[in-house]
Amino acid sequence: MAVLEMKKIFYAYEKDRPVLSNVNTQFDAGKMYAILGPSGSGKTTLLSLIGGLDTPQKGEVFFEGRNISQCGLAAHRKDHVSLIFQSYNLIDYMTPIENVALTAKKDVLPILLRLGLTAGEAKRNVMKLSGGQQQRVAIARALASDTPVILADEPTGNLDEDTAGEITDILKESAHELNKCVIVATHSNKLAAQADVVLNLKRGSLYTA
Amino acid sequence: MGTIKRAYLYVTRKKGKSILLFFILLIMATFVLTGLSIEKVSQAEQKNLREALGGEFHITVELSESNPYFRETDDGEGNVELGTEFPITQDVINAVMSTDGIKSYDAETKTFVSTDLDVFPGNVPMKAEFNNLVYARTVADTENSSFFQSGIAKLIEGNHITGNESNVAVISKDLADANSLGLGSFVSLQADRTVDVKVIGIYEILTPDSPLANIVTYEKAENQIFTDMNTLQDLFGDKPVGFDSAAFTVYDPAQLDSIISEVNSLSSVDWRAFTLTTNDQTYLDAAAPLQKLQSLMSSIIWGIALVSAVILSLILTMWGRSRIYETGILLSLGIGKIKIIGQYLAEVLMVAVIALGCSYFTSSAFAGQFANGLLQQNIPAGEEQAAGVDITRKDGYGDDVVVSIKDDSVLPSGQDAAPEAEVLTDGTKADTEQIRVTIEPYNMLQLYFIGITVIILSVGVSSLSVMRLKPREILSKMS
Repeated sequence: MAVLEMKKIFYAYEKDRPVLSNVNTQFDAGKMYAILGPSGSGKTTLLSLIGGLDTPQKGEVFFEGRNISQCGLAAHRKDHVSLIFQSYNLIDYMTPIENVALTAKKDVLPILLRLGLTAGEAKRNVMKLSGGQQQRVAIARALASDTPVILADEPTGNLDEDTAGEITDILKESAHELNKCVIVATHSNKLAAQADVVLNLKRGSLYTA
Repeated sequence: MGTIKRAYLYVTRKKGKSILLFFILLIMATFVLTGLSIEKVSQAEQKNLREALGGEFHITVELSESNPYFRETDDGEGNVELGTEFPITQDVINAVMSTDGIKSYDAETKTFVSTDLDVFPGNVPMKAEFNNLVYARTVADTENSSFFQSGIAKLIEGNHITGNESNVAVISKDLADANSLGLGSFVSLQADRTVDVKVIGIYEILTPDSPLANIVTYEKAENQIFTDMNTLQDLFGDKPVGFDSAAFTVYDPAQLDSIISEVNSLSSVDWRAFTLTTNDQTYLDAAAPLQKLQSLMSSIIWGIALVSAVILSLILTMWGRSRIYETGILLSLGIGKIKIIGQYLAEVLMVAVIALGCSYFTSSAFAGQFANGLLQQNIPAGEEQAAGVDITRKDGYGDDVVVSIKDDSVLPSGQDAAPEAEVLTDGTKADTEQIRVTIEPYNMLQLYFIGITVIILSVGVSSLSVMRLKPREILSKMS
């Protein structure tokens, strides 16, 4: 059974101009998916609907066969999916350890160390870290929450090429080694090339590349 | 990570905001606590005043046609005597005294009697036939009569009349000495009949009549002869006799109206025969500034609480907008809105607990000065008693009863600070200008209740705008 499934999803910001129209797709565990598309194509909207940040105007999203609206969006966000954003979205008055501990179901420090932070950096204010380090903290938070699905919205958009490559590797490992379903929305073909499945979002519909 | 831990991290890491919030809450709490403590102390002062001053009501015989027992007799020589067939008897007094809340009574009747004693002449010329007239003053209990209670005289020999005696008298030492009388001597009194009364007590005059005053013979303090009710009855044979008037003192003047109402409903007394008047002016005069102070404090407390809630809501709303980013992150992590609001509430409460506690010291520092400043403003100015309340209770001899609320700020610290009111009868003016305000545990509980209520309302109001948004909208705004 697919971890996530979208059926007949429709979403429009303006009437008669849907950003998503009749989207039907499903996502499996242990794979990294890349959703490619230009800016404004609806990638973030699609992730928001999968992540339970918003609800589709038509259609349904299922997690392991259950409609996420019925099981509760907050519970879905907490227990089923983890979100990684381009702007990291870390709490500015906390350390990396504390940020990761917000939703952690595992020991926090080993995860941070595995992702390349030192113990000293893990206890520093998170705003004093570099962009790459902050994104590692965001990924660590996603991994520590131990959800089956990781959603990443342009996770390498603000990073240099080397760091972006490292982050991509971490996400890929998470899918393959930790059996996570990793869905990355990106316009980077380089990142998409690392994905197991690439989906193109064009005129509101998803197509397998 | 739990809600409280997140709140603790915010409070300790965002020190600038926490300190600012602390001072805002401290100022608000200081005002509220000051108001609460002043209101409380003004209530206590009023209670003390009530207990100290009491209140009075008087029963007098109704000498008019509205009294069905009224009688008017004319001796044919132009002398008209007004009387009643239903005087104030001991039974009437006992019936009134059975009402709850009455502390004591003083009943008296003054009767002209002739005597064979050499009396002290007054300085107002009178017909010769009146030269030997004196007052036979019949009281229920001489010790509790106003004559002795107000300090005009003091018993120095023998006993007081207690109401159980028959044909006895208490006379002045001057009258006794002038007529070579002592305890056990007999004095002859004459009205309709002649009665010999036995002297059982001798009093000394402490407050002599003023030499400048115009006083007739029978009014002179030296000539007052106190007798019992049986003597009065014997003097007039079968005529109904009783007291001219009776004054009743109640414990709490605030209850005076309800006591009067209850007294009026006594079925054993025919109230058409009497007039009932109240006197709580003494209490009202003394309590007026305190009542104004209490009223003012109540308004201030509610005003401050309302203003505090508005100010706090505005501040928290502004801060909440700056935290929309954080709110979006927490929502995206699956942390519920209730828990997020709970965190914001916990943050303010953590600071508030300390700020409200510290307000004990700031309020203590200036509550007393503030209260006394307000009290001064509430006392009518431009009068002799501009700085105090000069309360005069007429007792027939012109003595003033003065209310003093003592400033006991010089008491050693830690001593229980129950505010006190004192009634002085020395005729000097004292002040109602100082009250001592202390903050009691009950005031702190009230403060915490009001403070927490205001904070909950403020956090709730300030969170509304953010919490109405969907997580996606917040994240969009954030982006």
